Amino acid sequence: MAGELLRIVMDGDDAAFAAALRKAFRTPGASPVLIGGDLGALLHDASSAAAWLTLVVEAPRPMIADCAGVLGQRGLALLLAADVASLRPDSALAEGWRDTPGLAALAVRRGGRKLARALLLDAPATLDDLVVVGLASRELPEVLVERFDAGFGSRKRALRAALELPFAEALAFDLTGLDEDDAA
Amino acid sequence: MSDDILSRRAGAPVLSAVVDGVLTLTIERPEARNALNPEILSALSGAMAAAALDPSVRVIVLAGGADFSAGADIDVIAGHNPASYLASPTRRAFDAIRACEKPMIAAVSGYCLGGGCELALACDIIIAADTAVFGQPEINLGIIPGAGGTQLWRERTGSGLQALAAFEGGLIDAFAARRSGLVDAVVRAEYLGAHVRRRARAMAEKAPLATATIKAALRARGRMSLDAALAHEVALMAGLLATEDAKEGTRAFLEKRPPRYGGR
Repeated sequence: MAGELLRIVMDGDDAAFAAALRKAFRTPGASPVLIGGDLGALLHDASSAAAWLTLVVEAPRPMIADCAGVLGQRGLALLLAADVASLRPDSALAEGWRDTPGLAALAVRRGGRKLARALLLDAPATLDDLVVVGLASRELPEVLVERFDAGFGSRKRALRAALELPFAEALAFDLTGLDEDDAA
Repeated sequence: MSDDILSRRAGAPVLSAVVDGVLTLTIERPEARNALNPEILSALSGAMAAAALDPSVRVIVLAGGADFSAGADIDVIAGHNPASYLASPTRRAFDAIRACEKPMIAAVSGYCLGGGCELALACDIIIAADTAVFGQPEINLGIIPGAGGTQLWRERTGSGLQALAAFEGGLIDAFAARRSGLVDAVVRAEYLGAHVRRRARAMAEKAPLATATIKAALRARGRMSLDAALAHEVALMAGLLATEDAKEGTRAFLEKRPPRYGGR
C-alpha cells in the first residue's frame, strides 16, 4: 500500500469538502484517501464542485470512493472522479442520476468517449453495469487500497500529462528522468 | 564540468551559482513561498547587472524551490505610497531582467503568482513543473499587476487569457498554461532543475555572439514595428557573418566535427 489511509467524510457542502481535501493533501507523502459520507446530495455550487472534483481527479495519490446508500449527483461524480470506487451492498443509484452536472466530462475522462456515450445515452445502467466496465468494484475499500503501490502517484501524473499534452510532449514528460542524472 | 560558484552563502535572499556558463539565480525564501521583498529584488537586480559584465555567463536560469514565487510581499506593497513605489527595488529589478542581454530561462514549480509570474514572464523561456500554478491575483487585493502582468501574457497567450488573468485573478495549472502558450514545456517536478540545467548548458555551448545577437533580435520585436524589426534582424545577421564564430560554425559543419567557438 502507498501509505497510511486518510479518511474524509463528505457531510458538508461542496466548499467544505474542497477545503477538507486541500487540508488532507497537506499531509506529507502520498497516502491514499478514502472518501465516504453523504453521497446522495446534489451538486449545488459550480465553483466549489469543480474545485473538489479537480482535486480528486488530479491528486497524485490514490483516491478511493467509499460508496454506501443512495448515490446522488455527488456520489456519482465522486465515483467517476476517484481512481477506484467501492460499492457497499446497500448502494444504489438515485433517480435522475444521468442529469448529474459534469457527468459527460467525468465519464469521458474516466472511461473514454465510447463508455461515456453508453453511460449518458444508452439503455438504463445499473451499478452492476459500472462494475462490469471497471468503473466500480464490489470489494471493500480496505481490499482495494492494497492495489496501490508507491509508484501509483508517479504513474497518475504521467497519465495526466498524457491526457493534457500533445503526444510528443506527454512522451517527453514521462521520459525526462532518463536524461537527468541529478534530479532536484 | 567547471564549478565556479560565485555565491552560495546561507541566509542570502538569492543563491547564485555559475556552472558551465549557466548562471542560476535561486530565490531563497521558502518560509514565505518565495514572496518577493526588497532584499530579493535588489539581489536579483544586482546579480543581473553583474552577469551582464561577466563573459563567462552565457545563459541565466531563474529558479525558486517548491514554489517559484507566490508574488510580492503583501507587507511591502501595503507600505508603499505612489512616490515610493515608482522608486522601489521592484521597478528596478523588473527593468533589469527585461533589459538583460543574455538568454533567460525561468524554472517554475509550485506557486508562480503576481510578481512571481511577472518575473517568469520577463524571461525568454518558461519551463514549468507539473506542480506549477500561474496567476495574477492582484485584483483580489484592490490593485493591479504592476510589473508586466497586464502586458506580458498577451504575446504568449493572446489577449483573452491576458484579460481573464488580470480581471478575474484566477489560477491556471501547468498543463493549461502549456496549452495556452504561457509556458514552453511541462516536466516532472522532481526533474525540473536538472532538466532546465541541461537545456541551459546546451544553449550556453552555442556560438556566444550568435546567441547574444538572437537575444537582441528577439528584444527588438516589442520595441519596433515588424518591418523595422525585420530590417534590424538583417543588419544583425550581416554583422555576424564577419565573425570568427560564424566562420568556425560553417567550417565545422562542412568538416563534420563539433564547432569550437571563441566568441570572436
